[in-house]
Amino acid sequence: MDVSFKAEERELVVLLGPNGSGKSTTIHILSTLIKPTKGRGEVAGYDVVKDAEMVRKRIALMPQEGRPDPNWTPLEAVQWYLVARGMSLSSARQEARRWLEELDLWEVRNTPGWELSGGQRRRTLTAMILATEAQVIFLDEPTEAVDVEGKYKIWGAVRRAVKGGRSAIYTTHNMREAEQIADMVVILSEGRSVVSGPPSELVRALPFKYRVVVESTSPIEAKFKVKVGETVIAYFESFSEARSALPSDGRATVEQVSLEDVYLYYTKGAKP
Amino acid sequence: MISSILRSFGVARLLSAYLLRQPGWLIQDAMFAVAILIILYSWAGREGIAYAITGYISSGAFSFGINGVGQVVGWSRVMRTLDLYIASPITPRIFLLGAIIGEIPYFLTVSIVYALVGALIGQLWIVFFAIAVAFLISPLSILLGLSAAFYIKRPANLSAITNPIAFLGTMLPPVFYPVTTLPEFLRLPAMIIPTASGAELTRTLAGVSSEFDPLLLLSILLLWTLVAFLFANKVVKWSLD
Repeated sequence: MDVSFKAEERELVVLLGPNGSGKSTTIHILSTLIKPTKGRGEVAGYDVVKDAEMVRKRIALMPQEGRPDPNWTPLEAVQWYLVARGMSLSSARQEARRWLEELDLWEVRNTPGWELSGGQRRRTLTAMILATEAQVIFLDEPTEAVDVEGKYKIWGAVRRAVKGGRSAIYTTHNMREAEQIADMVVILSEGRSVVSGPPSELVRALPFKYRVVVESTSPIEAKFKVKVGETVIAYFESFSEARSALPSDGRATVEQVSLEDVYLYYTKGAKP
Repeated sequence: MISSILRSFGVARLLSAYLLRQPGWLIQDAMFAVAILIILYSWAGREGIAYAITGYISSGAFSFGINGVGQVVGWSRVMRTLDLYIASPITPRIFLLGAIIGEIPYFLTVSIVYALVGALIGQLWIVFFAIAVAFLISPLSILLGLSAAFYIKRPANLSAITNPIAFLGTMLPPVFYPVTTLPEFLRLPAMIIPTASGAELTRTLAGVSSEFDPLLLLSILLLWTLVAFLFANKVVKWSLD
């Protein structure tokens, strides 16, 4: 692992990378679940190994494969987790209501987990974390297996939590998701952070602006090209240049580059 | 102190939510306690009741830690909710206390059933001795339960290990029957099993049996607790700790 980044207060940092790139390991180190083999991590100014107890007082973690107990109702899950963390029962009730409403779970607040949908269970877990007083929240693929509507609810709630003064470290392998919510993106590949910055700046900094996606068998000329599976993505500096390179079969279109292309550029060697 | 107890209660409410949703577990336990009472009474009259009370409360204290505390902690590992507790201000002490508080309804159910029976037949004092010995057995069983929950690689299989241990520790050794039933040479080795020494200690204190020196039985329990503590200290990890 060789990951380096800094998250500021009120900032949502997305760790972006494919499965096995080191996103969860980074989260586990920063949330004191595992020790780093080398290097160091700091959360809220405290070393994650030496001052683990101080770090734990300031964090909340939503684990990647975490599932709320099927016996919990959303209300008791959030409320009693907050009490366990040291919040008074009346404040816990208040916060539980706020975040369950925020995540559209108030109507099902007294429904046991086994009667909830997968997305509702995942949102219950999100509510448990966002409702805490934690200064730094870690969300490890919170929208995994959540439908589109549920994803937007989670994104909105996380953004509001950050606006309220928290820092959030959020992992995903979904480029669009990262582009949608991140203040800063850290792209990870094979256990290394390869580039970081605000998504729009990373896209702007690319040496090309347009792309054409074709099957790998189609011939296409371009200064920059990358092969992904059975497709080739060709990159161009201008729209006219991209348009003129389009294959004649009409099966490809010109698209503007996005965060996905930043990722490919830095991890797949889309170089001249 | 009060704050820690309140926080532990929060943990207890989360870990024991299954008892609220499925109270049948408590009813099953109470029914089993009554059934053992009837069976032993029909075979041995009032002495049988004494064996039911001492045996059930001792074995209940043993399964309280192994089956109860161990399984709720193991279940938290399976669901990955243990990570939520670790990466938080919830300390291992608060979590453990919560796990214990959450399982108390089981122990309370059986104790209430037997206290009522003990009061009815004028043997309430046996229940008191049994509960006192249960407090000696509980730390051992909790340590064993925790060790199992953390030691087993696939905690989803935990009950497949703890249930047979708890069942064998209850039904095979002289917990519900007099140790004198066994051949002479087996009596002392049988006391190595903590449920048997616990039940026998209660019976000795209550004057129901006098086969062994109570200090010997107490020493066996304490030795077990020490071994369990050393093992738990090695395998139970609150992550980085």
